[in-house]
Amino acid sequence: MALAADEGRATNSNRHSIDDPPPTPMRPDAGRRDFLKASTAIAGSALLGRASKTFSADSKPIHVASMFDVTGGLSIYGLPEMNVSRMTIEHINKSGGVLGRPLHLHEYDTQSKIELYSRYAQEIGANDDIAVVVGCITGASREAARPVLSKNGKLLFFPSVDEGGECDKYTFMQGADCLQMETPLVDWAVKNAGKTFYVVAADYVYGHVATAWTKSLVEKAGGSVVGIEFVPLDVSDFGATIRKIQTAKPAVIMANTVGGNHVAFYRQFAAAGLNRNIRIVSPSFGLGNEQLVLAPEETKGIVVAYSYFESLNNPENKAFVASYRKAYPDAGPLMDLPVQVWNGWHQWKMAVEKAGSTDIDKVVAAMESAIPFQGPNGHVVMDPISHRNIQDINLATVNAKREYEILHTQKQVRPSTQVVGSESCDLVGKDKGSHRMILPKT
Amino acid sequence: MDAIVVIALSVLTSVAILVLTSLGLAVVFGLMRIVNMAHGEFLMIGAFTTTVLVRSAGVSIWLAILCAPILCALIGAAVEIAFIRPLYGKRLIDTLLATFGLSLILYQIAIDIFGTASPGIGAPAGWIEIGRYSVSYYSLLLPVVALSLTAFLYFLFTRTSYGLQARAAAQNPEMASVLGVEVRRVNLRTFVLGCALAGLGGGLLSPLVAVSPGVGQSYVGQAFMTVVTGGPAFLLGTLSASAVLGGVANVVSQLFTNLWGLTALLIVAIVLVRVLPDGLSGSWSRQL
Repeated sequence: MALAADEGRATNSNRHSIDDPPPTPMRPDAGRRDFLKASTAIAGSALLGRASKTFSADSKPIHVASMFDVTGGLSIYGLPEMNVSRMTIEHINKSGGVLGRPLHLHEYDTQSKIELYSRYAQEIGANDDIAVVVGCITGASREAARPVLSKNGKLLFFPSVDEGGECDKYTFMQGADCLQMETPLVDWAVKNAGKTFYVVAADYVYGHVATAWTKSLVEKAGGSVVGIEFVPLDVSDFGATIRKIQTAKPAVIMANTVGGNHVAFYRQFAAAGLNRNIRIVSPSFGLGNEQLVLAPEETKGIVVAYSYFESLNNPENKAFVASYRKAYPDAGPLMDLPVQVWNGWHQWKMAVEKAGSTDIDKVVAAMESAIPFQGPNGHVVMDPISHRNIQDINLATVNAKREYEILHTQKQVRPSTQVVGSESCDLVGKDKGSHRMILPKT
Repeated sequence: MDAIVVIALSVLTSVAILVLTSLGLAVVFGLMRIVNMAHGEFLMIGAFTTTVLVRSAGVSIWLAILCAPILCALIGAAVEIAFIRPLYGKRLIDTLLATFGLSLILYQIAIDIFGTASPGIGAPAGWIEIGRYSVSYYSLLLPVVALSLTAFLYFLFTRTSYGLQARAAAQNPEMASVLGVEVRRVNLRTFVLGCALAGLGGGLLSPLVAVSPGVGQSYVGQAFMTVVTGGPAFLLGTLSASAVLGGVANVVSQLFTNLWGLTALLIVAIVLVRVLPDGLSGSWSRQL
């Protein structure tokens, strides 16, 4: 009987039973990894197929990346910026690419979460192919990504208006800084509205540094700050703030609000009837098209200062707006941030073509040679000492039709190299190896 | 003197906002124990309904606010039949995951339809001067509406036969169905009521905040905190918890800054849950 059973087992030896030793596992990960690599390569080359029609068969693409908050509370800024990034890359590829090679854009949606900026910066840093990043919206996100990108030798172009203080050889700041924007605002307010200022600012690095600048500029202009309120980004109930403003009785509000929730401030301010007597000046209003979200009676008379307005009358702007409207017909009005994305890519392109390579130190040297560029916001040139753009600044007010009326243009305003109350940054001199941010004495 | 009056009114408004955004969740989560992570999105749908009706169709704002709960009720009915009905009974905790996915879907649909910056509406009716302060009439209207709504719901759940059946179906569905209550139909009505309340809250809030697809997400966390610290009495407990949390947050914001107001709200919520783990109304005799 046992013999028969053994024989039975022997003849069925190719059948698996529970007593068989476990088979040596095939490495499923290796198979999946190879499959993923192959499919990404196929998908990637399919994407490039269109763009690389004008290039020679063996011109490898240059990999570049964009990190923006396309979803979440900051998507009011991030979605248009990512769209313009994509549009700019397509435009550059259509006109022959950079050094004859097409650009391949890697898009990262950071979902308004700071931790994703750090994570994607690590990913980009570990990717040897990516040469440059145009990205980040808030100063906090920039400070999460910049040290990682810098350490891995990746260039960062930062398109937002911001508070200043960055002192990093590998970072270039496109947008206007506090000195460029707040000086005309404070000067206008003191002349036209009054000398007492109440500051409402977002409670993070931008709000605090911008407020330090406001205090020093207001003092220099002969005014006084009668109250300061820092509001966290996710607060939308401004009842307490409005009551405190009414106690302080200022003539002017300097509003450094950021994000979708802070738009409620202007709404509740107008609901309490305060916009009849108190003027609002803001270096951040409008970047998310707040003037569309709010009703005309809530936004009439707010004064802002930016380098770019869609109504600027020059040929580059007309062409830029036409392509944007064609690609994104449902998009809202264009503001400063997406235009700086366009400028950033083009300024990088010119630097690479001057340097003849994408090697980071050569490109930095080429950027510091101050190549002028004619952007939709006019003449733009990089200041080598501060790594910031020297550009025109326009003062404008929102009219009853929710459009911007330009009051006054200041040509080629120089950015600051001095951080208020603290040291200065000289990226071709004493700071030429620096990778840090200088915070003011607040 | 006028400062104290204005602060008191401001506290009432903050509490009212908390009540209006939490009542829907009080019915859905407090009564039915359905973890509705999409509550914020229903607020958002209500807010958008009001805003779009006023902006694009020129409807009067009051009528538009009344239309908000109607649309949310319809969507709530579809959600209940599709997502929640299979989960009653032993799988009620899975509603957390189901409604979380639903909230992501609704949020993205809203972004695709409305974009990120869509036109909103301002507060109607002007303002009143109190001493050297001015307060908008609309912010004074909200506490009145919140109180009336709570009173109406109290009446609904204690004096009508639907209310009795709803509470029975939520507390003991098997016994209720043995006694002749059509549990499925009653649960559908209760869930729809909760979603309609959320929509009404969103519609009432829309003239005061910036309405965007993410507007509901900042209120969900506070709504859950309020309902949980409120305890088993889903109506009056939520009302008391709103009064405590909203009052503390507002008063601290007035004395210090918004950041400390939010911190105080969280600390009070933590202390309450620790000291009264069954909620504020844990030891009340009337569990409503």
